[in-house]
This record gives sequence, structure tokens and C-alpha cells, in this order.
Amino acid sequence: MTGALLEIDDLTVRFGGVTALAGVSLRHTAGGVVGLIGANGAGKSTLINVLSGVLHGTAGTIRLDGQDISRLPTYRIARAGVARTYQNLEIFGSLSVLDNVLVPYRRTDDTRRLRDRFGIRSADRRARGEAILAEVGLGGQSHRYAAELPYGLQRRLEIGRALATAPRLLLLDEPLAGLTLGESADLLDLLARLPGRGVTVLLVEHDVPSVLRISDRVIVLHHGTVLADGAPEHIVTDPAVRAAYLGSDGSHDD
Amino acid sequence: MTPGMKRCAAHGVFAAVVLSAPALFTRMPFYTLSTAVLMVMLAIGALGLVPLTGLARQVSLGQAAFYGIGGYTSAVLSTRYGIDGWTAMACGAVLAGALAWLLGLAIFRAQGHYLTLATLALGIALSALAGQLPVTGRNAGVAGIPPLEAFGIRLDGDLSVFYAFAGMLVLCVLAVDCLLRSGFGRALTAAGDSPLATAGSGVDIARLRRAAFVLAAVLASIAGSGYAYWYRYIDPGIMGLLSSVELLIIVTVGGTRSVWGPALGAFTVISLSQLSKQYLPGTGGTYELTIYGAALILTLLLLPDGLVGAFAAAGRTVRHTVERRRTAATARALS
Repeated sequence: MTGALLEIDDLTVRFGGVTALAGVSLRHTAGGVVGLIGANGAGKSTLINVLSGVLHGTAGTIRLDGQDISRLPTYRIARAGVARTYQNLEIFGSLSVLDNVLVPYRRTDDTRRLRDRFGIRSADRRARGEAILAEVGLGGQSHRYAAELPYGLQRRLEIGRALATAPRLLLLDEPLAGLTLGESADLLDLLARLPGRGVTVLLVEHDVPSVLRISDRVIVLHHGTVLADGAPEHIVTDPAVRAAYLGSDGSHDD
Repeated sequence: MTPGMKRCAAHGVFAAVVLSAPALFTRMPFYTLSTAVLMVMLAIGALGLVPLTGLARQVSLGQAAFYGIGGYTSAVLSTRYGIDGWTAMACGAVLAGALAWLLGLAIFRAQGHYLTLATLALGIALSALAGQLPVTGRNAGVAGIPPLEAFGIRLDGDLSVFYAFAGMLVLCVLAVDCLLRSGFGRALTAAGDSPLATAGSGVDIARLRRAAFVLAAVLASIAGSGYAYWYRYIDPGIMGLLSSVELLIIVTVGGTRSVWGPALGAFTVISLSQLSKQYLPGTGGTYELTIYGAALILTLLLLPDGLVGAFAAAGRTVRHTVERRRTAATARALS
């Protein structure tokens, strides 16, 4: 039972009479991009919300590197190493772009040290922030208000803010939504580079061809259960997936 | 000029304006020294609402309860136990802060408008309690509070009380400004913009809001103590809902997101109230409420960032116009 970054065991989430997730079990060893696809209502967003502690499961457990995080509040889960972005942008609009990436509590910081705890603006903290901004393609934008950034850059800022927590697992909820084709391609390049810096990515996205292109493993959710799980090339040929979701010709129709 | 130098200059200008108030107020109609003292007390009392309401977007209707805790603690300790005024003031601040911390433990666990409701209840409960307990003098209140002493000077006149508390206001504004420029202020602003993403960034929002609530309570308590030592008398009326609303109006009119907002708001709101008393005599203060309401509605409609926000926007417009003209002139000269 050791060695897995993420272990989800029999996770069930019910909202009144609606079952959003019905006994999902998953196990993933650190590394790579995991694509999570499925039709609307399949339970993708619910899974991200439970993994990040925004919702709590009705039953089942979630372990991160062996630590049970199923009942922890959101901020404790974030500190344990799970960061996320949001389908509807949740940036800190009245802060500067740099301040947006300085808010996060960095997992690797020592909380007993006052300057780490209260984040007194030290030069190295700012330098770290600038480095993250440069990595997500926001170099030179530090002093603009986040609310003034164009939409595509706000999406990147959310990813930068998530990376600032030094996460082990990064949950991306529809990062390509609303982007132009060019912006999508650039962002996919950025996402494909993330596993190289030691972050495991769980990607929820409607744009199935993009998911298949950059994922190492794809999980298909259907009515709150795992319909298929495997390498992208196996997923496209899986008869159950084609019948239930991808359509018989393999093209995605949302 | 670097931003740091600008900040220092701003604090210097603020101190100069505040400290010159007595010279101006004694030469102007409607204004008296006691008006100036009242403005300073209310500005200190409303200052904590900048982090709490302006940044973290939590509305407290119990600021007057903490103002009252400061006032009553000072009054009771000084008159009944002969405790030194500054010590009694510190005791009041600790008591107010501790109560806010305990209340915050319960309130900020849950989401929603619990703070507003709980602080509303707190004000009502404490004012009823002060009106019933023998130690707080029941509804008659506590009279004969001795004045404060500083460096051997008895602060028993409007002028000495003004300078002592105006100095304290300047220091409190400076301290809160420094605090808001640290990670604490950044996290509060983030929590006001998106509580969801702030928690998702590993920040304990409940603790953050509790800290802002304690700060607001402590500042209100200091202002309440100051009021008690200046007025030398205190009764349950100062803890009423109206006083809390008055502090909220002051910070809204002045600007909830600027440390200068409460002072400017206190000046504006108290001026309006004095003017209404002058021009609408014999109405026993009933128009005062109407004026407050009107000031609040006009501010919310026309100046969502308060007077400070409006001045800042005007400053930016002027600067941009000057820059544009200068660029245009340079372009003409070059062509």
C-alpha cells in the first residue's frame, strides 16, 4: 500500500438523492499527467472538489502519500501538497500579479520561522515569485493588478499561484476553457512541462483530443464510476468508452 | 520618489493635518475643540474596520460593544479600584481582544453572515448587561472618571486630550498601515477577493479573520477608553446599535480600503452632523439619522471606495492628463 502519491478508496459523494461519485477507487504513483474526462455530470468536478477539500465525501478515503486527507479542511489539504485551479476563475483581482503568487503558503517553508509564517517580504521570496511568474509566461507583468490582465493570462496566473504552494499534486479544472486556439496550444506546452518539475498533474478538460495528447494516463468517468482507465491509445479504442462517451467514430461531441 | 518614500510623506502630511486641527477648528464656525476630540476617538474606533470590513469583507455591527468594553473597563477600574488610567486602558484592550478571539473561534468556523448577526447580538447583550449590573452603575452609568495623566500633565482639557489621542491616531494609522503591507494584509485582501482560492492556497481563513476581528476590537476598545477619560462619564447608550452603525458609516464614507479612510470619514460625518444641528435646530437630533443615512447612500452610489478612493482617482486623472500633455508637447517639438 505504499509508494502511491494518491490513493482513492471507494469514494462516494451524495448530494441529497443524487449520487455524484459512486465508489470510485484510484491509485496513482507520482509523476506524469493524468487526464480525467467524462460527459457533463460524470463527476469530474466533484472529484476535484473532494480532492481539494472544498467538498467532503460521504464515504471512502483519500490518501496523499499515505496521509489520510479525506476529512481535512481545504487549507490543510493545500499545505499537504494538493493545489488547484478553478473552472470559473478565482484570482485575487485587487492584488498585484506578484502578490497573487505570494499569498500561497509554501509547503516546503518552515512554519516555525516568523518570516516564513508571516511572509515578511524578503528579497528571496519576491525572487521566487518572479521566477514562478516567468515560468508560467507572466514575466514583466508583476506590478499590474491581476484584475487588469486579459483572460488568457489570468488562467496562467491561477496556475502560477497553484505552483507557488510547491504542490505534489496539481488539480486543473478546465484550464483551456475560453482560450483561443493559440492560447490553448501554448498552455498545453506549459502543462506538459510540469511533470518535469516534480508535480503530478490531474487534468479535467472538455477538449478530449488535447487531453489524449498530453496525458500519460486517462481516466474516464461515467455516472460517477470509473468506466475506463489506461494509456491514451487504449482509451480511444476502448469499446465501452466509444459507446458511452466518445461516440462511435471516436470524435468528441459535447 | 520610491513608493516607500511616498508612504512616509503621506504619513507626515496626515500627522501635520491632524495635529493642526485645533488651530483651524478654533477659528472656524460650527467647529469646536470637543468636535475635534470626538472625531479623533471615532477615527481610532473605526480604524480596525479597514482590515476587517474593507479588506476581508466581514461586516461587524458590534464595534460599539468593544468601544463600550474599553470605556467601562477604564471607568470601573479607575473609579472603583483606583487603577492608573493607561493600565486600565490596556486591561480594556486585552479584555476586548480576548472576547473577540473567543467569539471568533465560534463564528469563523462557519460560512455566512454570522459575524454580523453575532456582533449585533453582542452589542445588544452588553448594553443590556451594563444597564443591569451594579458594578457598571446600572442605567445611570459611571460618573466621576478621573482624567488620564501623561508625563506629569493631567489630560483634563479638550486640547491636551486632543493632542494625546491625535498622536495615538497617527501612530495607530502607521501601525495598521505597516501591518497591511505585510503578508497579513495581502492574505486579508486575497480572502476578500476569493475565500475559496485563499483557503486553496493553504491559508487558514478562520484564523486570518479572527486576527482582523481581534485587531478591530482592540482599536475600538482603546477609543472607548479614551472617550471615557475625556468625557469623564459613561452610560450604556454608547454601546447601542446606532454607535456601531455610526462607525461603519464613518469608514464607508471615508474609504474602507485605506488607512486614511476612517479619519477622513470621521471628519466628514461629524461635520455633517454638526451642520445639521446648526441649521436644523430644535429637532433633537432626529435629522442627524437622516443625514447619516443620506451620506451613506450617496457614498455607496457615487464613491464606492469612499472619499479617499475618490481623491486617489482624481489624482490619477490629473497625473495622466499632465503626462499626456507633456507627451504631446514633446511630440510636437520633435516633429
